[in-house]
Amino acid sequence: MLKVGLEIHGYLNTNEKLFCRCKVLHGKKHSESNVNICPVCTGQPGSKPLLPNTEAVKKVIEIAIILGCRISPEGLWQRKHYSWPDLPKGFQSTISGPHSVPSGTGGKFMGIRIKECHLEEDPAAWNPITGEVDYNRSGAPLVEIVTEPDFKTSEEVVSWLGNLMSTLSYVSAIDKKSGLKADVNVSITGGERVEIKNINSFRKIKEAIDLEFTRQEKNPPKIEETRTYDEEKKMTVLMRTKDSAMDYRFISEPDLPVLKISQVLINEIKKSIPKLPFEKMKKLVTKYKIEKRYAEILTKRLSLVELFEELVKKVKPEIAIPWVSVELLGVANYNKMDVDEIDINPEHFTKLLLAVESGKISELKAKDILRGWAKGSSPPEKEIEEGKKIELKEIDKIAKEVIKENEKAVKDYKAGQKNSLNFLIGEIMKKSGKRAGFKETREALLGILG
Amino acid sequence: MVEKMTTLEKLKKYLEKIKEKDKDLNIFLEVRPESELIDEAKRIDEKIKDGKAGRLAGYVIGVKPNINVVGFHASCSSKVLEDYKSTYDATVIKKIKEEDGLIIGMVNSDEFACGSSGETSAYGPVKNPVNPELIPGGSSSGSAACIAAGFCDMALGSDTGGSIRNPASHCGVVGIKPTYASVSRHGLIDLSMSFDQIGPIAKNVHDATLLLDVIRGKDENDSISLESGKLNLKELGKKKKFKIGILDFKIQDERIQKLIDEKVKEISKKYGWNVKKVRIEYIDTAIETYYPIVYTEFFSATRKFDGRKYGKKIEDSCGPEVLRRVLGGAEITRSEHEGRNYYLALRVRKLIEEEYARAFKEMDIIISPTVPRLPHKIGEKITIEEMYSYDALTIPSNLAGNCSMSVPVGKVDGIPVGMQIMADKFQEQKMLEVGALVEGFGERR
Ligand SMILES: [Zn+2]
Repeated sequence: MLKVGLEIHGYLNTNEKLFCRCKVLHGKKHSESNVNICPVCTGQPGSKPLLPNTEAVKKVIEIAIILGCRISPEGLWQRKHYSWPDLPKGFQSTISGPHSVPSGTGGKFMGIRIKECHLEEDPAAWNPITGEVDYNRSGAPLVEIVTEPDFKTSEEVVSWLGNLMSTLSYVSAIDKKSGLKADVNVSITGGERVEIKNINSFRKIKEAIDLEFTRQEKNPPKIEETRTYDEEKKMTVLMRTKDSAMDYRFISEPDLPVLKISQVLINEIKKSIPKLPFEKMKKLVTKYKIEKRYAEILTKRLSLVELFEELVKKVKPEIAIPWVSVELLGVANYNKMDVDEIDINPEHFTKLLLAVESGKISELKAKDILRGWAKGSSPPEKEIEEGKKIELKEIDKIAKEVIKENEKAVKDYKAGQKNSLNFLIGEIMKKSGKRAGFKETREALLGILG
Repeated sequence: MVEKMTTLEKLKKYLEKIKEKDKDLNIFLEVRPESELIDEAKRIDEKIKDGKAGRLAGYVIGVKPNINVVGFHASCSSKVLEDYKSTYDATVIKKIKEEDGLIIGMVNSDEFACGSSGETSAYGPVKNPVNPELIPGGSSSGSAACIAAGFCDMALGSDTGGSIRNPASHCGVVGIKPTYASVSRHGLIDLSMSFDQIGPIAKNVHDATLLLDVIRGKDENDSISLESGKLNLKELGKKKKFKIGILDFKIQDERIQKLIDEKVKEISKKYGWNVKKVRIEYIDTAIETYYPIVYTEFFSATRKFDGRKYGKKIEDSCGPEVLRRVLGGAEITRSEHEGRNYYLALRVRKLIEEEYARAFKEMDIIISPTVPRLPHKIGEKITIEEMYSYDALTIPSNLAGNCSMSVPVGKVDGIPVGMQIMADKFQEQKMLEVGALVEGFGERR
């Protein structure tokens, strides 16, 4: 039996870094390297941490509350030492380790037990090929969430992760767009635990778990190992075994006071947490009388609910639902992506669906445009304009041409083979560049064929 | 300003002296280009003339090389950082500049402030201006020596276990270790973060007090720093009564204790001070308590010197004392020890801190010699235990986190001896007032 546990690092949604006033860059967009830096986040000799960013502290507490954790009233900052080019100080500051109590412990989220969650800082980004180190992210506040090994399938991991990220970004605690980093523990019954380090997408997490499962079944691990996922070779690769495990030499941080979390603050944060997406989602399903088959899909992915909610501000729900729960998922599957990895701007999607709703473009054309958004959506106005439905007169003209060119199909239709009509409709679609409306085409054909 | 000379005249006098004598004394690592210094001295003199000058106008100041000053090498007297040039000013430097202090350059010290003799510098040992055959003490060796040699008016040192007071004592100058967290450490390159404090060294209590008053105070860039009130320089030298404790602690060199005892007797008689002996439990364990903490924190602090950013990896390029501490720290922090040594030391430290708090409920000041022995000859082989024993009387103040200072009170064998005057946390005003009265009895150089 497969058992999987996760250590997830998410970017907290703050304006500033954890121990200095440098701005944190959010989203996938990257500016020039080394713009948002100072002596603190580059670890210049003699620099000291400022008091931790209170926004970051609040967000971690908020996360701990959402995950049902006990909140520790005192956070003892620790130095976690290791030597790596991305680490300016030679240690990472974190509220975890043997001499500290994590910010939150012993929680549960959507059926998975949470061992702990805590606040820490991000290292810099090191490019092993060029050797360049970019400190823009160095010192950005992170939350680390550690689960118990409660997952039994890779699918379960990915959908839980998607919901976790959506929930936490829904309350603006984390910045989903900046991505996540996860260490994945995989073990099978009778084998030792293997940790796969630093995987940064849902798809890769799923792949790595599946590959590791197959590997372990063939050859159950006898000692604890740390491995890494080689995406190109589609295999996990050994980094180190337990014997050579890293010693982080944790010590308490002498340069920072104990972080006190008062019950007053906890209560304040509790009050400020908006209604969680799940409760809200249930209401939506009732409110819009969403069919069961769609509701089931939606409820597995909060990101889809969020998107749906945005769309129905302007688009009719009955139009929005199939586009979100069927069409968009189809695009993700076709591109072997997770739906959360597709970067869709709700405004773009709204414009697209309004064009469908008003009959300006055909559904087929709209699907075409949507398929082009696998790597991120773009404003659809131009494509809508170019793909505008053609006039009835023109449909008529094309229909006549198609009838002429497909005598056999016409004969078949007249002989009672109703399928042939669909074939003819398809031909008209092709010829018109998918710009003929389905209903209009059908009517035109029937009119001519009698 | 005490002297009538202009800043420029004084600067020129100092530069002349440095040129003449520093080849031998090895005090300065880096002197700012002369033209720059002269321009700034002129600018300061202009300000003085216009009555717009800051409180440090007219003072020429040397800086220990573990403090960041933009454009200077904060080498920590080490090869490890020989190419490191500061990109920012430490908070204390910013404050000095704002008050028109003239920073003349960086002075030599023990490597990464690890030492009590000035001999561990990668740039050669600093000599004691009083007697160049002797060590000046350390680790702020150059900071004390530059004052004793008459190279500048004031200097910044740092004190982790006595590094300001110890060389001040051996060189016959005034050195202050402020209360922990009262002076910002932002820009001070770490030795042991829970002890390190920047402090002033000067010719007399007045100047040292003035510099201390400028540099201290809470700083956002040092999260543990605390606010401390203004010092009142006008109170210095006024006759006042104090309750004095003489530390009951047997030291090796009885001549030193005798000198201190005599001075206290003499002074207390004149001012009517109430004097009695005071015992502080556990201070015989001070050195054993201090070093595990220093090793641990120093190991952590030096992880950034991994050879990737500042050119050299510390383990490959440092001297033996620095290496001893790094390796010691690496051993202490191994996870199999579960932090026992470090956390045990922190507990003993707490006991000592409480002992002092108790003592200061009964008295204003605790007096002892600053250093229990006279300085050795440069190059003379002494054991590590002997080396560490130099700091036996200064370390307790760092463990307790209180304030203390060394004031020259006389000589033994022609070598200056300092009296350590210690007060409770944030009781600098009291300490300085006592220091100023004691100073009046010292042998004027
Ligand atoms: Zn920064």
